[in-house]
Amino acid sequence: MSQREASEAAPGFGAARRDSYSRLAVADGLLAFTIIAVLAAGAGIADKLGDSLVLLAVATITGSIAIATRRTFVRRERPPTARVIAGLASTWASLVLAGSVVYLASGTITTVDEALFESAAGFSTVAATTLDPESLGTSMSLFRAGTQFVGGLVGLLAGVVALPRTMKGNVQIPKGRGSRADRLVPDPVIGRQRVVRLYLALATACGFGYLITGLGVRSSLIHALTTVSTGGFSDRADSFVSAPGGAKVVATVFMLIGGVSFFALFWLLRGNHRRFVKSPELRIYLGIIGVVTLSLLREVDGLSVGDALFTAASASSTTGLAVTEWTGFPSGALALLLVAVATGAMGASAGSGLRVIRAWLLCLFAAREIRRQLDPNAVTLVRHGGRTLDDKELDSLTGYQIAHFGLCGIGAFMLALTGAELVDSLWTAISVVSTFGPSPTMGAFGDADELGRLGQLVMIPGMLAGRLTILPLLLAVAAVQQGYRALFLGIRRLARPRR
Amino acid sequence: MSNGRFLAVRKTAIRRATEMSFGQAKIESTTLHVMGIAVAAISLGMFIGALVEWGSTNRDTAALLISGTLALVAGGLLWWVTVPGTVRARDVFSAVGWTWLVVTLVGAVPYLLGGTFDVPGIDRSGQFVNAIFESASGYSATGSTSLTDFEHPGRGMMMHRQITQWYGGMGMVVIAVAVLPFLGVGGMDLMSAEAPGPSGDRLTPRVSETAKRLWFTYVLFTVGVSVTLIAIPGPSVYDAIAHGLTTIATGGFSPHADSIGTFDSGAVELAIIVGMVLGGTNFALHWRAVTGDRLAYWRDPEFRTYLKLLIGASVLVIGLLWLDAGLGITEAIRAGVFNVVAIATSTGYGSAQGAGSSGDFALWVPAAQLVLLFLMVVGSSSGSTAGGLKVMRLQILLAHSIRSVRHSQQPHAVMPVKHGKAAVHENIVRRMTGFFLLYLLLVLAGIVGLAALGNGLLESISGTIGALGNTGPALGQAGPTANFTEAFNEPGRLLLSLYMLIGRLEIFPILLMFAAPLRAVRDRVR
Repeated sequence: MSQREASEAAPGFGAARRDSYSRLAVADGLLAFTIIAVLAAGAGIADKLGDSLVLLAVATITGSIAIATRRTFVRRERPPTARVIAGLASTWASLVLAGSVVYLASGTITTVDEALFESAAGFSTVAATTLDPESLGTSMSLFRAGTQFVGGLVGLLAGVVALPRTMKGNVQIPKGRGSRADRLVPDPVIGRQRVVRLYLALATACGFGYLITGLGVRSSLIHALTTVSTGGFSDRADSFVSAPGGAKVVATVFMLIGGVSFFALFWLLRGNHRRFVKSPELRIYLGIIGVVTLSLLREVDGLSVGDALFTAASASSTTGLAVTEWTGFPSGALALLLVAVATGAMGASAGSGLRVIRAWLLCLFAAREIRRQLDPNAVTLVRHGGRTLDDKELDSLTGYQIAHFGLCGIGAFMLALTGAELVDSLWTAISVVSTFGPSPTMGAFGDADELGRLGQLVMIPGMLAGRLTILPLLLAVAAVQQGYRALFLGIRRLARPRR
Repeated sequence: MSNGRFLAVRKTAIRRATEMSFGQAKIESTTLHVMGIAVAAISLGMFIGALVEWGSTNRDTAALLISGTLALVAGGLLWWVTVPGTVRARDVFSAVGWTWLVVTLVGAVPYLLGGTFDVPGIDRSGQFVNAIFESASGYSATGSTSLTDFEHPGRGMMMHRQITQWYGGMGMVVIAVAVLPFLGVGGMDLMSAEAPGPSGDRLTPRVSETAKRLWFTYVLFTVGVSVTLIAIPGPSVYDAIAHGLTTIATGGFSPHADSIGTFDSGAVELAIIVGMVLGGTNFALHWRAVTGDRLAYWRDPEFRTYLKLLIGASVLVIGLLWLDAGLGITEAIRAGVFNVVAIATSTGYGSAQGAGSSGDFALWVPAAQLVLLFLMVVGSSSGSTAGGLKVMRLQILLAHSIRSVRHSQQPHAVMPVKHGKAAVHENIVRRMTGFFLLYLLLVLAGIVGLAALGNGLLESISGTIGALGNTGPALGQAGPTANFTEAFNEPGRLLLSLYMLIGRLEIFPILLMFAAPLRAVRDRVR
């Protein structure tokens, strides 16, 4: 009898445990939150006691809720896509709420909207902040970095374990005929454990790298949490501008790794180097970074190769760390950076954006239509990495991506309504939906005060969509539409004269 | 060799031998034949321009006459020495793509001979680029201009410029009936699904007959707008005809630097608005309405959405101008409605009376500008003379996107994409999605390309979208009171010229026009 079956057979307190994917997902999220909060509180107890106490108090509450939920509910069968999405969205929302309670209760932020924005930016791995990072104590700085670490993990688990099993259009790795490449292992629990282990190992390696290159213990820990998660928060107001050269190299390497598919990393770890090197998505990802680096060197006078590569890696992996105030770059460099940010990292990685694989498949789809125009009767297929993609999967992919582009447009319009300039609105909306963060409005170091309070609020749904796919928002809209329709039909039924 | 193939080869050999014996060896090429007819046809516009020039300013008469004669002779010769060959999809793309390119080059000759751009500050290469740009803007019915001095060219040259856009609109009608059905993304074939009865597929069984009917409608509306403008106090007969030619064509060229703002007349603006809305409507609907089917407009789901889009965008922009920009309500309504319709129909006329006036949308609040940018992308109805993605494609793409979301709730449900009440075939949905993705890729490439060439980011974004949507004026320094010579550098203007043609030909023909000659060469080599 497996562990899960045993757990179901013997429910706590003799009561039958109910099935709820969403509640258990929330409980898992809150458990991760609790761990981060307790560790941050412990690390900063000698620095600012008040912050540590607040963190411990909130951690006690979230931990209790998580344990109680896990004892009450059980996950029995594979849930449908809508419920998986609802679970992920609920997890994200509860994490954001808990995070904002920490900021408000500790007095780090005094207004609800700013606390919500800061927390949402953390759990969405967006490098935009309303705080002066240098004014924060150790515990709060670590907690803030921890929110990005948890956010990156939630996004990663969603992309690698939860969504590929249920959601057709959420292509993280193409499913081919007869291929099972979309799963790490048949059992999602084992898959989840492997992802968490690798994620932790990468963060640890990154932290050691920073430590060796002279970044200091606190800074190393904070940046390790925000680099591998492609978050981008820093404990310095100027991000990596004044960091040692070696630390910049470490950051570049781990940003690049953060943007690499975990499937590809597993291939590498299992010794399948050939498959790793031959991955077309990896080649395109590195190709984009190479092209952006070369273009930056060509366009920007006086930019070093290292800084160009750092900026390109930061944009492509959607991390948001900065070594230079790139918002003053010539328009050609800015346009290319925007394309890199919009394309984003590889599928099934901690990074976000459109994802290289989806962008590539969309290009292949468009190329197929050109071929079809030339030879209308020819059988034209979309192939990627030796696999053929079926039309239904491509249809789902294109359908979601059209909604993704629409969301960027709506976000830009909402920002423009708050008075932001047109280019800035577009840049910021794309940057936030890609979970990058910085934009010409906010500057390279992501000063979100420049957005204004309304601007910050309207960007929160964009962060959710960026981190967990656009589907939660669309399902919410669909629910409102269905509610509206039901209301309309009800009124009509009432208004209809009875015979 | 099979018997059938042997007979076919023998037949070809006999035909060639017969032709040779009579000394009539003609080149079999659909592309060259169509090109010849088109080049000869545009000479008429140059002669009309010469006539107007001769009767008025008489500065560019010789340039127009020489250009017209050259075009007539070259086009006539090309037509004479060629015979149309096969008409497969790729031949149609090739014919249309190359023809438009050559017509654009020929259309630039009068500007070069007349020294239209020979003004202080523009060197030889600049004049050449501007002539190409102006010609491309004309024949693609875009309306962007590189003219810095509107008083410099003669009236006849300006009339030739207006006529180029009228030709562009006329060519669009040909594309709608002859090219887009090959692509399956144009909407005429979709409209057929909406129309009841077996004859709903096309207006007539023959493409040429359909084109003639649509051209008749086009001419009728052109005359209608011109006559209306003549009847309204303000514009002269010359102005009325000049604007009549570019309104139904949704071109947007005007002989005046301030465009429609020159007249400062609500009546003129209203007449132009109606004309632009008609130009942005599917011409097949016009024909049906003209022939007695009055409800044809209302039955068409695309037309209904088109109107809703115009009204919704107008209300939004008026609200933003009134509440956010601080304009008076009357001023906001006048500037808002005119510019929304001008941009949505991809006409691109301006109602601004100089920089900084209420109609200068380059200085509007960013949210209103974003609405205009969205309209530049969408454009108007399929089968119209307007550019952009087209409302029907937007409807289908939205329906496709919504279906994807619903599929996540009900994975096993069968949900066809519907347009109106009719289900759209999956192949058409995929083709439209492919078209949209290509459009997006081109926009991205254009923005990066223009910005990398040293142009501003706002100008690059709006200029690319405006050129691909054949709108005309853009934002920033390329606004309705500015010109593209000052907003973009020479390579940027050349790139925009190419984009105008790509946008006018609905992307595929320009991308595929190299395929037919390449395959012909490949076949011969084999």
